[in-house]
Amino acid sequence: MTANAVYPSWHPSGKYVAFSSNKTVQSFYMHPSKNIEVSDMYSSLVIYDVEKNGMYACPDDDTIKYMETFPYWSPGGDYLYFCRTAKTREGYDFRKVKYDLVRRFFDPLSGSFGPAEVVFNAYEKNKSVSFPSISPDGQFLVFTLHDYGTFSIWHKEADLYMLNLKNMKVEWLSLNSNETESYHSWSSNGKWLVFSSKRGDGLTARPYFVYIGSADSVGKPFVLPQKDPSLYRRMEKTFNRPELVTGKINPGPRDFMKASGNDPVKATWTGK
Amino acid sequence: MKEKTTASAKKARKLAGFASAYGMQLSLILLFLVSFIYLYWFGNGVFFYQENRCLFIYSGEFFRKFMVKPGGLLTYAAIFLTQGFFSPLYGSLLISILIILICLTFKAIVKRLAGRVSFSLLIVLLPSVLLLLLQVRYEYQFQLTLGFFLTAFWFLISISSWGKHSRLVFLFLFPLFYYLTGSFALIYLGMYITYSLIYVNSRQRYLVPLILLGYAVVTFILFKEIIFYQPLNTLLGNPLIFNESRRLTIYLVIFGVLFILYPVFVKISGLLNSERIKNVIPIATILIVFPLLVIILVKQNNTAIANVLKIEGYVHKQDWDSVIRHYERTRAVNVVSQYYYNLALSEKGQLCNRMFSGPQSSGPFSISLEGNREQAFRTIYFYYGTGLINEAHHLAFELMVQHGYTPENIKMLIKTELINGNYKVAERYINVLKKTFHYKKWAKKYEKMLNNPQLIKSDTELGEKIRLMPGEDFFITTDDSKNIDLLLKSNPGNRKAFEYKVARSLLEKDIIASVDEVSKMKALGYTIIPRHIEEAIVAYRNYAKESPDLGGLLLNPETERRFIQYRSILNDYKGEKSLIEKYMKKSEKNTFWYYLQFSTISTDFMKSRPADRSIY
Repeated sequence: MTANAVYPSWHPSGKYVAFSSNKTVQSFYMHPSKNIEVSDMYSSLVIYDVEKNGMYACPDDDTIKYMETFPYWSPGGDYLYFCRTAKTREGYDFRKVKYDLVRRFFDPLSGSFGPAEVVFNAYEKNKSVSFPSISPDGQFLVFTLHDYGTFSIWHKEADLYMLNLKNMKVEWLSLNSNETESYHSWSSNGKWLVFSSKRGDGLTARPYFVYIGSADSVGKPFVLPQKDPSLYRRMEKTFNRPELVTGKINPGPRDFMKASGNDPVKATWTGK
Repeated sequence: MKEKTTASAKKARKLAGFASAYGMQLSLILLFLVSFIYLYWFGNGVFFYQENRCLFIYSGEFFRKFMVKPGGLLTYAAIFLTQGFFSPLYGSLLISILIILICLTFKAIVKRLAGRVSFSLLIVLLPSVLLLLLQVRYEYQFQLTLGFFLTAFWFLISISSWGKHSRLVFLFLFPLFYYLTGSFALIYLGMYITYSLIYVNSRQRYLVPLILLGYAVVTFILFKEIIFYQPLNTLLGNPLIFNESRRLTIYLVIFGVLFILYPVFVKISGLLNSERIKNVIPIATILIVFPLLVIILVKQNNTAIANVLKIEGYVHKQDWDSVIRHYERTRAVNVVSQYYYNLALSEKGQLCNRMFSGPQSSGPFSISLEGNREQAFRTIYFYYGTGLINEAHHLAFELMVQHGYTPENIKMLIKTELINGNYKVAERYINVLKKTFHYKKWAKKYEKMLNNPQLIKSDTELGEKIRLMPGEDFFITTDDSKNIDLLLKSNPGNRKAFEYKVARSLLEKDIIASVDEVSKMKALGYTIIPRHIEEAIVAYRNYAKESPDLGGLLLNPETERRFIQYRSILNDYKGEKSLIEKYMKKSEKNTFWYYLQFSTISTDFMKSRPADRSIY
């Protein structure tokens, strides 16, 4: 593992956490239509075994070298979904980097993986996938689709799509706007989605909520209400990864302060 | 003879008597005059520097940012007061008045502690004089003087005899003072404990300091664990020890110790009290302290920094003519001034016509202060000037994240967002700037451009930048030479980028590369070749014995004539640099030929460590 572990996803058993280990760089566009491009020089999936405090990679037998990112467990814990693209070489054209949606069977008892299978071939559609996220009933998978690369928040064309995992049909969602839609999270009953969108001003992301019955039955999105409705007009900060949770977050600033003083627990590389 | 001696002795006694009676008043007047005259005429760069470091915004949100840690409100008050520093008159008056108030506070402290003593004038003047010497340093922030004043004032009130109970109440207001002034409260604590140990005779001598110390510890724990959750160094050090320079921090710590030991000095001066010398000390104090103060101020005055700040002030006002005039007059040899000079010439379309009229000792480094992110607040104008608007925006945004809003970064954010058509975002910044005192009018001018692309295009400045922008996309690199090439490739009509490219070649003394570009000039709309490029062509002809492709443009015969003249002078003095330096006319020295032959490019700027690269 040559880079930090990011984009964590907890296995439903609570026994594993999947990460991707990414070496990220950012570049700045000079044309007014775009701002920043964030891309990975390399990335791979790693699994953290909570009980053993060990980390290991999950290589496959494919002869092509890939970059893998955004791991997400299925609600049953039997599949790990993620995005992947062929490893880039020096001097590559960043506009040709397209990530497909892929999954691998997972055996929680042994902690081992099956072969990779492409669930949605974005490359064929000249697009790129980010942030797969599965509804709690395991029926739908929502992902972000954009023209290229891995960092959808800086892609104005990025929209949310829904994949029906029963019939593998992909549909564009009517919640999208002309600006960026990117990170998203399901509610525990699978009827609501919170997602970040830049529809307000094109620069700062805000958390929007939407009711989801199915791909055909999507409610009207609304922004997280604030006590002062003019806050979003003034606020130059952006909301990053909105997550829906089932209860109140109890830890307070003092808990964070205390925890920050603790020694870090270093995981060992089990190198499975 | 004896009569004469008696008369002069009488005069001296009279003068000493006058100084003894009116020494304090005279000193206050002198201190005010020295402070005001120095700050207004010589050290006014400090106001420009400090005013541009922050932006006071009239909003509750801005105020709340300063409430979260002890000392924040002191900073808030100081930023409020420094917002008027755009006027050197206001700044000089404000600081001079504060220096006098500090002096008056210490006068009252000395009177309270020791009554009238021989050395009272000296020990009263000492803190104010030292503070004035600190205040004229560029990195010394106004909030520190304000903090020292409040500390002295709080100490004075807490030792004033207006009832035992009232004094105790005052001591118990320590947490409030700690919250208001942060680390200055620790100096106050030290001062009060020293005072108590020396001046209190009753059993309270040890009891009160112990209680106060215990009270301060409890306050500190409450602040740390329950109220503010701030790290230890913030709680103990803000705002006293968070400075740009380590040397200043050392000065401040020494000065803080002097404050703490002040009651000791008063006590010692009381012990040295003597009837015999009491009339001599005030006049001696005045005659020693003020000339010394003036000498130190003069020695401390850094003309190089003053020049950079002067030029930077013109740049902020976009007064390009004044930048050029000032630089050519002062001929300051430092990379930042040279960078601004080239920027001003570029803005006036004179870069390749006039750049050697001022010193170019930093060579190509002065083009964009390349590879120096510490200078981002300056390089931003290079990117903006050449049409690399996204990079100017990127740097302005980074500077805003790093330092908060400053007048220049928010103005750049507004202009670049308007140019890029991001009106909602531009409006957010404009609304912030409208809540300031000095920049409201500026913000209102740009507010009219919101959602009005025609107005933006017709604006002299913004319209020109739109025309200079890249037509096709590319990523900015860390190599500005490459960036200019990419910009020219995507917008071949960008004359500013073109002249920067040629200027770099000229500064690199690369005649071939400079001359190679001439063939493209006609297509760029040039009808005559800029003076220094013509000089490069003539030099090329002279060395290569062939004519370069001028792309249909003609060489001015006057340039050939000037070159013959230049060569004859060289021959006359047999190439002896010292003689040529002395006798060559300015017009002949202000040429590419002279630069090519005699200029040594200083690489100090690039060699220096990043922390030292800032001119400040």
